[in-house]
This record gives sequence, C-alpha cells and structure tokens, in this order.
Amino acid sequence: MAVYRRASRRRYVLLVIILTSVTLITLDSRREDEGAIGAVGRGAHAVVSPFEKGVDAVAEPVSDWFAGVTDGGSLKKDNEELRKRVAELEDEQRAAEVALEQNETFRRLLDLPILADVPRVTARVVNRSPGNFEWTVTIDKGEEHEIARDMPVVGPDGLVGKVLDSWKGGAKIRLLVDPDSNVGVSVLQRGKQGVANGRRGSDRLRVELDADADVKPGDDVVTSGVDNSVFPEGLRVGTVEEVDEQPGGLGVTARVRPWTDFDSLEYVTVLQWFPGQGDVVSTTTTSTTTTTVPSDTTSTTAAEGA
Amino acid sequence: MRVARLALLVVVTVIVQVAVFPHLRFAGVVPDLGLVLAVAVAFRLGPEAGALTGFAAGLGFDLFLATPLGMSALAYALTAYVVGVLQASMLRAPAWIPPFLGFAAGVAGGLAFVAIGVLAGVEAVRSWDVIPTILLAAVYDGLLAPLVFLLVGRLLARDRDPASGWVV
Repeated sequence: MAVYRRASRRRYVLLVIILTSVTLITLDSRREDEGAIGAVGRGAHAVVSPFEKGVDAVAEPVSDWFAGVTDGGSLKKDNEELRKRVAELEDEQRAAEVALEQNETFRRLLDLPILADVPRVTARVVNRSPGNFEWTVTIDKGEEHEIARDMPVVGPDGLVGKVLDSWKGGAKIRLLVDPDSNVGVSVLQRGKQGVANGRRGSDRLRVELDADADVKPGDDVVTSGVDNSVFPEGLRVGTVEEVDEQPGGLGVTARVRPWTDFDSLEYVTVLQWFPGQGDVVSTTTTSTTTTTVPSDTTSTTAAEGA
Repeated sequence: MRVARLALLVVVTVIVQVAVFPHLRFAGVVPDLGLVLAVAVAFRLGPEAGALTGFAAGLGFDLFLATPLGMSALAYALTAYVVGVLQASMLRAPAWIPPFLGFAAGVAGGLAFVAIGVLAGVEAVRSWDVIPTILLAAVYDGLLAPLVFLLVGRLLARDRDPASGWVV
C-alpha cells in the first residue's frame, strides 16, 4: 500500500512539473519579454552579471596567453600581412572619407538623417551563449546606458546583431548567425532586397532572392532599412560567396559571408535606434539620447539610416 | 537541511553553467551541468527528487537562454525522472555508471530539449545538425559526471540516518 502511494505521488509530482513547464513555455513564447517572466529573467541576469564580468576578467588573460603560446609561430607572418593591409586600408579610408563628407553634405541639404548622428554606446563582450542552441553574446552595459531591446549592434567590421534583452549592468545580443535572426538586406550592386537568416551549424548567412536577381559572388550585402526595420539602412552585413538556384526556378539563394568575425568579437557598439518610432532627427553626435518624432509606425523609413 | 543544500547546489550549478562554461567550450559545445546534477540526485534519491532538482536547475538555466522559459526545465525533469525509475532496479553501482549515465542522460536530455523546441516553434533546433552538437555535449556531460556524482554523494551522505545507515 505504501509503495503504491509513493508511486502515485511520484506520478503526481511529474504531472505537476509537466503542466507547469508547458504553461511557462506557452506564456514565454508569447511574452516579447514583457510582464513578470521578463522581469524575473532580467533580475537573474543582474544578479549573475558580476560573476560573468569576474570570470571574463580572469579568463581573458589566460585565453590570450594560451593563444600566444599556440599561435606564436604564425604571429610574425600575420604581423607583416597586417601592416601591408593597414597601408592599403589607409588609402581606401582617405577616399572613403571624401565620399562620406559629400554624402553627409547632400543628406543635410535634403534633410535626411545621418547614421553618424545616431547616439551610440560602446561595450565590451563579457560572455558568450551559455547554451548550445543559440548564438548570443553578453555585453557589460545595459539599462543604465539606455540600451533597450531591438537596438542594432555593430562591430568594427559590420553588423553584429540586435539587442535581445537588457538589464542593469548588461545586455544580451542575438548574433546575425543565430538561426532565429532575420535581417532585411539589400544587395548593393544589384538593388535587390531579401532577408538574411542564420543557418545552424554554419557561420554563413542565407539570403533568398527573386529568380530574376542577377546576384554574383563578391557582391556586397547591406541592411535594407525597409519599413519598420529594426536596422537602419546601409549597415555592412557581408559578401555574397555563392549563389544557388532554387528548384523549380522559384528564386535564388545566396550564401553570404558576414564581415564580422563573431569568434573574436571583443567590443561592440549599440546604436540607440528605435525602430518604428519615427525618424531620427537629432544631429547631436555626443548626446546619449535620441530625439524622435512620434509618427505612425507605417511611415516609410527612407530616413532610417544613411 | 538536505533541501537547503540541494537548493544551494542548484544555484551554484546555474551560475557556473552561465558564467564559467561558456569560456570552457569543448569542440564548440558546453555541457548541461544542471542535467548531470539532476541525474546524480535521481540516482541517489530517486525519481521524485531527481525530477524536482532537474526542474529547478533547468528553470534557473532557462532564465539565461533565448529559448522559451521551461524548455530546459521540462527536458531535465523528464530525463532525471526516467533515470530515477531505472536506478531503482539496480542492486549495485559500478564505477562506470556515472560517466555512462552522464552521457546517456546528455543524449536523452538533448533530444528531449530539441523535441520540445520543435513543438514550441524554436527555429534554432529545427535541423539535423543538432545531432552532432547533442552527442558532443553528452560526451562533455559524461566526463563531468563522476565529479558531480561524487559531489552530490558527499553532500547527501551527511543526511544518513546513523541508526539505519540509509539515506533519509
């Protein structure tokens, strides 16, 4: 009788656990990070943030030392190649600066926003995803710097991803290569638009385009900044590496190599950009707040970026 | 007291999983430390305690994941429950049991997580490419299991009833 009662209690406990879990999964899938569940998550992150920063402070020098020992042989060669590359890039930068200046002049004349005017916060990457089925990083700045969900995040080489959640002392960034990441993009040389998705088990992006898109390997891919896009127009995403035709001539799929090296990401910049809340009109470069004009969310976002 | 010690162990496990193991990736994967803990508890105390520990550890871990809250909690709880039921039929525990259980539970827990994710519409788990990730993580779980089983054994040994010698 006692054995039967114990077995019955076990099944009851398991049933309660299953029902609770299913309820939480259902609620959380619909929450968009609002409500009590989101608040508990942010609280937990705030508690663990100091541990993450502490472990990173210890792990980084050890990791650097280990990399120095194991990669010592190739460092001299890398150094020579990098010096050559710096010289080349300095030439390119001078030409780009002239073009940027002209672009800025024209944009001001046309009263269009300028990406350089968007307030930004630079933060250090202190942790990577704690799980095996997501591609995220944690940074050391959050709510106290007015970093909020969905803000675009860029690195030295291009787009990194967007803010998934923020709390006091940190924020979580979903990387471009996460399979749940979707970014509206445009192929610069062809003017064709599509959506870039991360692919499981790959560090490349997949962009599906119309069948008539004459996209070629080597083409540049940037954010399209279409209506209500999370990302402003013109952020560097990657380069087309390979183009495949879909069966039945339904379209083409481009494999895109991101410019950002996600494995060696140390610092990122969060653009304080608010999608769907109106056009950025601030021209202050040092401010940490953005002036926005309330407008209906269906307004075109030609002014979303530069 | 035993519940308090287990609760503390769950909290420490979640913090270590979230703050330390992302820096200790093995072939690009992290282990499921909470799952190994739940299995160790299930092996020692039975399915009920294992499932509750798995639920608590999984829920704590879920707070730090982008996947819906409750996915790891359910996967860990179900896996630990099964291990707890199966261990009841074992008369003795040879030395290879912890790494074997760590690996087997890693595979079962990983598959359960993916199955729940597919039902919940999580895009990141909808691919056959998850299989190598699950297997590698299970190997990592198996390697850590002896240490976790030892820790849980020591922690719970204090609760032995001096008169009977059985765990209470």
